[in-house]
Amino acid sequence: MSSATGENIRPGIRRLFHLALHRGDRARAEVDEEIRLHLALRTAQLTREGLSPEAARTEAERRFGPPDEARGRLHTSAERREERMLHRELLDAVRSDLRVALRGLRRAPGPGVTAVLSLALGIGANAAIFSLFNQLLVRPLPVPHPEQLVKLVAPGPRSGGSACGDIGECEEALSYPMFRDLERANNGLAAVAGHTLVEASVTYGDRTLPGRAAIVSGGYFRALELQPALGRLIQPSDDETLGGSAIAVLDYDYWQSQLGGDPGVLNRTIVVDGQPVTVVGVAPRGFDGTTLGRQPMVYLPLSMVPQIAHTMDGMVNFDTNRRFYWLYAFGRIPSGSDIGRAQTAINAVYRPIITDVEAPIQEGLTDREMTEFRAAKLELAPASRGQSTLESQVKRPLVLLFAVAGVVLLIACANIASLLLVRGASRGMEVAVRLSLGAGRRRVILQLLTESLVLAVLGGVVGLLVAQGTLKLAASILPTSAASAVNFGLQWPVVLFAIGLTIATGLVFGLFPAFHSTRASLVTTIRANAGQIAGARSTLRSHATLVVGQIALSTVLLVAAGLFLKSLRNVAREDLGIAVEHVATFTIAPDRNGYTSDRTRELYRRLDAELAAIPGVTGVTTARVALFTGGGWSTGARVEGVKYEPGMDNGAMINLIGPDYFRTLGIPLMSGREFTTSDREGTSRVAIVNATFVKKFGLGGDAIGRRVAIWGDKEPKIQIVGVVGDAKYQSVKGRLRAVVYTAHLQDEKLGTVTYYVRTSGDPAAVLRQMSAAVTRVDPDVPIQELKTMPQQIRENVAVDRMIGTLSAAFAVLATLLAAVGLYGVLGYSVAQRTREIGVRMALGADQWKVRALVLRQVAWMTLAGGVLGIAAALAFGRTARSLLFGLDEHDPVTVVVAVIVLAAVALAAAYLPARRASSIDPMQALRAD
Amino acid sequence: MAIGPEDLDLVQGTLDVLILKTLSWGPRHGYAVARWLHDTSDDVLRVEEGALYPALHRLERRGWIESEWGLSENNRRAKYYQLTRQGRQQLRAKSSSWARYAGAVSKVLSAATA
Repeated sequence: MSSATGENIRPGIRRLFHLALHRGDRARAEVDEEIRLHLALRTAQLTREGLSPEAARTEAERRFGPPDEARGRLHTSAERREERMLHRELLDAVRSDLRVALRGLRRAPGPGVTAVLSLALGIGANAAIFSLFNQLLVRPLPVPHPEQLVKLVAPGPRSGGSACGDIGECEEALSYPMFRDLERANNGLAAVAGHTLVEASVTYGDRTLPGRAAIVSGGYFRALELQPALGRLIQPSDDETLGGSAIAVLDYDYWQSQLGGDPGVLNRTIVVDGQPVTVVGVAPRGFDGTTLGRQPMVYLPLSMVPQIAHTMDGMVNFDTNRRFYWLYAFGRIPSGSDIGRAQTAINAVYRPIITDVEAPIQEGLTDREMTEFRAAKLELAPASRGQSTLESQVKRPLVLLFAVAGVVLLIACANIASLLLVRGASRGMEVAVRLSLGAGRRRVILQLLTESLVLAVLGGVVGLLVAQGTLKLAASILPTSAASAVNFGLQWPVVLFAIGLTIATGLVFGLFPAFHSTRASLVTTIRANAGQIAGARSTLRSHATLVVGQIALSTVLLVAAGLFLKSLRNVAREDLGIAVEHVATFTIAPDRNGYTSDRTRELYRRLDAELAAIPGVTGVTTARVALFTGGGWSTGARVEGVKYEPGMDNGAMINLIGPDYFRTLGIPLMSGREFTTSDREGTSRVAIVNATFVKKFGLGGDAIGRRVAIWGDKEPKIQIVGVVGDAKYQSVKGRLRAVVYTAHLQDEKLGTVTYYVRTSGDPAAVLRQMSAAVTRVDPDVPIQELKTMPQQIRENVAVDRMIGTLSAAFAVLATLLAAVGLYGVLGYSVAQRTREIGVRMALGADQWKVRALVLRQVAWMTLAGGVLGIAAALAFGRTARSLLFGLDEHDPVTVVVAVIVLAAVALAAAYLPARRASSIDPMQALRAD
Repeated sequence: MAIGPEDLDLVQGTLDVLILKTLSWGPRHGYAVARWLHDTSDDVLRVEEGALYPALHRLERRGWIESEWGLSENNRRAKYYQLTRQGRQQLRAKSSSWARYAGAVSKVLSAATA
């Protein structure tokens, strides 16, 4: 064996200093030596008793046992002993390491607490964002082999109308006849599912609940390969004849929350939008439908569309209309096949229909569009997470926030690495002694790692609390649809992620200082500690590197936060064209309670009166399409006297509104008149257009009196009676569009409507009275989306608010952490340079010169970090450009502000160490060693 | 009575107590343990000497004894075994249970022959 160091040291000492342990071959050598000694002593004894040396030797060996066998056995038992002792010693070592680490923490809690808190914030922020990320962007549908699911996408131009929204882009919507054609044919898929969601009220017993129903084809559950929790699921046989079987499958959560999971629900009747249907089963637990954030209460067969069609607009002749696109479809690729083969197979069905059946019935397409239409192919795209537009909405912001949270964690790690470096430096002597006593470098590194892991674990535990808090914050600022798709509790994946992160960070920030402090050769360290110069320098350098990195990273975050906050401010200051402050709103859908249009008209009239009678209410109006909900109706418009050519953009947004709309919402009437209660059914049809409409169609000053054609009217027959100022419609950030307003009360079909109520005071104060007014008119009609307009606006810009709020919070966090890091390194460097500073002062340097010494250090670290950071921030800004509103990533003001903030924070962090340096007493400093 | 490896299972516990007892007077190397066992039992307990060392390893593995290298009487390097605190406790526990056991066995045997 190598040397005598280990062997002559008492076991206690060996353990105390974590010296090198025996290994297998050493154990065997020792056994051999023991046997030799034993035989020698026994032989000597026997010789003394009178045997000849040879006979004595033989007798000794006989007594010991068969030599080879005995030796082998001894070797094995010695090795086993060594192994066990090695384990035990390791365990002992870890235990004592833990004790040392905890004792260190208890003795100087300040840095430890700082470290744990930094880490907790870093880990917590990451765990929270991970939770959102996982649930919104990663987790597949809870079905067997979700990777086999593909959605059907039909890109290319086409004429006609579509109803598309939360489930997918409009090009993912198919017409009903097309879907049935594809479903029936040999389409290369194991099963095809058609589905859509409708707003619906479900009544069980005497309870009516507003919500959603999923309308699904017979192949829906087959494509998903799901098994029912109870009864059966919807089958192809339920979907054979339109208007046929009135059955329903309940959503598991609806069944649990509304029916208490009653197993006797089978064959009972529930009422969906006034239609009695028989419950045949319950969908499996954990399955929330195929559209993220849009969990239905019930599943109905597609064949029931005629019974519930009155809740969907534009569904006239849906079963034969090939130019009305509203049904979404996905399918499952058979095992053994692949997406390419399935796509070829389904296009063999799709292409002939397009060219032979659908091309001849297209209207208003240009020649080029017609060529594209004829060449269109159906595409299959992966749909393991179902079909939803939510994913594309939140993807960019979440990826961005994840990156930001990651940066925060990096900064926290750098802080802790700094802390451990300082510790390591002050313990350089101890480490050196251990190494010189023969402790393996690995053993010492392990010991230092234990310390960092202890910090990491404490940080991780507190981090879970932080994660919970962050999730609560996120729950309040996420867009509503996203919020409903997310479970904000701490779930297993998050806890596992946090544990993984804890271990990873513990290793990352622990390894660097551990290698650093064990790298120094014994001689240098010991000499350095005597003179306090050499070792400190290299520690200081690593330290400064860390701080420069931290400053760079927090610059990035500051610039990013600045950009997002400014963008958010732009959003908040955006001129909506509507005075929303004193307006409250709600929606009712009396048609779902079986109201006819005539009764609905009466209901509106009574409700108008009830609402107007509430004290403080100064105006009441309605709109068919609710404002700032992201949805909107559009139409092609033609104006009398304006020439229309194919391919020309004649699009306009449309809304059906009640009397007094513009006064109530504070939209200026530029000429003509508002709708009144006399614009009702049977009178000649009237419209009001906005300024953008006038400009787009070149109407100039004589818009009033002209007639317009909308929604495929053959002849312009609606007369323009007023022109109003522009106002935002679907969303705060959307551009101003041409809008045609028509008089809702002139419509034959009345149903769902959104009320807008203007108040003289705080609109929140009348919300309850508004709800009471609806109840007085009909207690069975549920009131939905009851809120103030400012609230509605906030929800509309929820994504901006989420990014702005979280990125600002993260940036503040990061800057604070970087300041702590800077403070730490400066304090350490002042302490290390006490003697040098003392000498300088003794030689005549005044306080200011000494302070300048410290500040110079701050200045170059801030400068280096700041320059790196701004370069990185600009690169980062490019990827975030689409999330910015009203500014681009090169916004100079933001960059300048970020730099000023950073410089101020750096100076503040430097203040204390600089003052300490300038108050060093030269005499004491020189005497210190 | 010679004890071979085949009887080891039976006597393992016994051998352990004997070794612990031997070491309770102070550190000894392997040969000294063998010799002492031999001498004190008036040659009745003649442990096959090769079997002694695995027993020592076993005891060390359990943490009842610990070893360190030292110099023997005639200045050779020898491995000395000594009891740990845990070993001392084991010795106390085992010897009392051994005494009970032996008493019970001899009672039965004397009853049978009487």
